[in-house]
Formats: sequence, C-alpha cells, structure tokens
Amino acid sequence: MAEDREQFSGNGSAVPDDVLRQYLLCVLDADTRLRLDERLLVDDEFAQRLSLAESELIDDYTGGRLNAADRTQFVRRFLVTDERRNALRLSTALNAFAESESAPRSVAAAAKESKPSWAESFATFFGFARRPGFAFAGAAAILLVVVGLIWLINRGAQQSQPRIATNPPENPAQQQPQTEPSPALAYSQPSPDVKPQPKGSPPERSVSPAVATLVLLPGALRSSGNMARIAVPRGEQDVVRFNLILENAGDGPYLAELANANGQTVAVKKDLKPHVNGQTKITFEIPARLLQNDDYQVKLQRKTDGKVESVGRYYFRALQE
Amino acid sequence: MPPPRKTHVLDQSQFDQLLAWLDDDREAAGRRYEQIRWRLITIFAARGCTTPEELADETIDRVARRVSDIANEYVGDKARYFFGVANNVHHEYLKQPAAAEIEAPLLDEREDKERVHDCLERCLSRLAVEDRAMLLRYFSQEKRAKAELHRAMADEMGISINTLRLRILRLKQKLQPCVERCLERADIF
Repeated sequence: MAEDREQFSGNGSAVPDDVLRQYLLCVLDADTRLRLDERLLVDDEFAQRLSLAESELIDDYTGGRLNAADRTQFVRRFLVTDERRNALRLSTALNAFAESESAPRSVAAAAKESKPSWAESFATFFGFARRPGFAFAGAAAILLVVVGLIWLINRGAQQSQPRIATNPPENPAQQQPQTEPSPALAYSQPSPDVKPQPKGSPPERSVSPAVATLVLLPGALRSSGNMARIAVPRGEQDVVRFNLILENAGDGPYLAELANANGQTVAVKKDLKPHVNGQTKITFEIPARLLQNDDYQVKLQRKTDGKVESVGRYYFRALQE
Repeated sequence: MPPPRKTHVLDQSQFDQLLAWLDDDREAAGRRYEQIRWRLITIFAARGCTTPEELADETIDRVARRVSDIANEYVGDKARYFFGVANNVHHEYLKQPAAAEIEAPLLDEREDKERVHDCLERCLSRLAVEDRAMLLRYFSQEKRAKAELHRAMADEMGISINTLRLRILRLKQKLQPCVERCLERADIF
C-alpha cells in the first residue's frame, strides 16, 4: 500500500486500476482511502476514471472474472446502491444477450459440420462397392426422379413471386395470376392464409396491386452485405407480403412487430397463426407505402399459456424503387 | 447502520439557493449537483456504509441549509466544503449502533429475466447499428478471452483500450435509463 500511496500522492499522478478496484470494494487502508475520497470530489478526471472502474468491476463480476474474495466484497460492500444494482442488471442482461446472439449460429455450424455429406450418405445407401449392378439401376432411377423434380420446381418457380420484387408490368395482361388485391392495413385483423388463385384465371380487376413477397429466415446477419433486400413497389394499393420461416413451430398465437433502424414501430400484426407450405411459416402483409429506404427488423413473439416468448428476429433492407 | 437523524427537511428555496451557489447557470448547477451527489455516494459506499445514498442526501441538505451563511464568505473549491460536512455525517453514522446487514437479493431472485431481455432488445434497437454491434461484440466473450478481444477491438478501431471502455460506458449509460423506463411499463401485450 505504501508504494501505491507514493504513486498518487502528487498532483495529476495516476492511480493504478487495481487501487481503484480496492477502493470500490472497500479494502483499502483508511489513510489511502481518505486521500482518494478528497480527490474524488475535486478531480474530474479521477472521477471519470472511477466511474469507468465501477463499470469494469460490474462487468468482471457478471463475466465471472473476479476471485472469490472480490466476489464476496462485491456483493456485501459494493452492491449497496440502487444505481449499482441497476447497472449490474444491465451488465448481466448484456452478457446474456450477446451470448444468445452468437450461440444459435455456433450450434448450427457445429450441427452442419457433424452431418455426413450427401455424397457419403448416397454412397453408403447404395453400397456401390458391394453390389454395382443394383447400385447402377438404383442410381438411374434416382436420376430420373431428380430430373423430374427439377422440371417441376422450375415450372413452379416461374409462377411464384420473386424474393426480390420487381415492378409490376405495365401491361395488365402479363400480371401474375397469384396477385391478390388485399391492401391490409397495419394493426388490422390477422391476414388470412395465402390462397393462390387458380392458374389461368383472369384477375378480377383490370389493374391489380403488386404484391412483393419476402421470405425471411430468423437470425440473419445484420451486416449490410448479407441482409435480405426487397424492392418496395410504390403503388398506393401495393403490399409487401412477409413469409417468416419458423425454426421451432408452436401453435401461437403470434405477434409480429415491424420496426425501422431507429427502433420505431412501423406495423404490428397480432393473432397470427403458422401455416405449412413446404416449411412452417408465418405470413402477413403490410401496405408497401409504410416502408422507406431503410433497414428493418421483424420481431416475432408467441404467446403460450399466457406467457410471451421471443421466437426470432428477421432483418431486411427495403429499397424504394 | 441507520442514517444520521435528519433534523430538517430541505425546502425549495434552500435547494434553489444551493444550485445558485454551485453555478450561476441553473443547468450547469444541476449537472454539478448530480456530480457531487454521485461522488458523495461513492465515498460513503467506499467507507463501508450501508446507506450511502441517504448519507449523501443528508450531507447535501446540511450544506444547502448553510449556503445562505457561507455564500459570501467561503473561498475555494465548493466541493471541499461538501467533503468537510460529509466527514461529520460519517462520524455521526459510525456512532450509531450497527443494524443487521441484509444482503440484497441478486438479479435472478428479483427480476424477470425475460422482461429485462425484451426491454434490452428494444433499447438496443434504438442505438446506431455500429454502436449496437460494437457493444454486443464487447460482451460476447467469456472470462480471459474477453481481455484479448477488447485489445483486438481497440486495435481495429485505432483507439486505446481506455477509449474503447469509455465508449462502451457511454453506451451503457444511454441504455440504462431506457431499460429502466421500459421495465416500469406494463407488459408488451
């Protein structure tokens, strides 16, 4: 302690970080502590350093980096004000939040690595080495099925809405048959399940509003390079349809809250129910005019037995045409 | 230990006089008042007092009651005057019988973690994208790896690690009142 005292006895001399921590944990000798008390009241720079040391101490506690003695002092002597207890709550929540942001991708990556490749599974299933004749016949059959599926998928893709919406063609005769004139308002009743119109049926109006569809996966990265994008149509009656893929489906009901990059809520959809169309998803629509050139997030929550739980967050960038 | 007995309740005019003594500009005086209050609380906490906020308020009240007497005569750093009064308050505190120490329950016994998480999520979304990313990255590692991560972050940003810590502190200070306000509101639904 004598060495520590010498270090900060003069004007402007720096107080070591560990001395600041000892001060906060009430383990300094009385003389040293008294000197720091007086300095705290009159030295703004020192006060700022101590404020920082407080924050670091709290973060070290929540991060499990304090030794046993310091942990005891922290709980008994440091956590004596509401402000510090609130700061502890925030630090704890930040740790948990940061962990939850990174964990799903880590788990998904590990699961992906442990799975055998499709080639390995394919070879094992047909046992090429043991029964080449059977394997050849089986492979030919599989090939025929795959070609057929590709043909069917291509045919279907031509008739479905693109992920990146384009401007509706000016010639009404070229409009997609699945376009549905449903300018749903924000905060309104839940959107009905999407029912595509029969193929080849003419649109009910001569000019139908455009529906830009966006399929989103939960937890997509927020970095601008990887974010899903949608070109927002500009017609007054145009809508944007969201298909939120659910990783863990439950009955719901679900609530979707759309907010912009500033955290302002743009639209809220309540009482949403999941539906299965290849994948389990939540679908709803909002008027396209609600979206500006901005980054958005859709926060999806589910109410189960009266308890609200967060299901996932979906990010996208809206680009006005 | 219970706080020293309060002999007087501060009225508005005394409070106004105190602010005027601290600074001619009322806003600057208000900031100075908050600074001094926080520092007094820290001092009493560092002395092992169990009610540092009350002791700090008692100190400020006593100074406020004396301002009309000392305003024209006192010369020097006004914060030092607070220090002298704080020492007296502390001496009185030590003379009183010690009360039983009651350990404050920790977060997971008191708080709904789900609500805090939701409020934090809302408040984080109001930060700039890069600030949010920096903050979450800062908290993303466990134990020893965190120190290395912080050094790496500071190097990437071309700043000292202290400057990085200060930026994180400012962001936390911005988040804190937002989360507190959110928790006071009713359920989201």
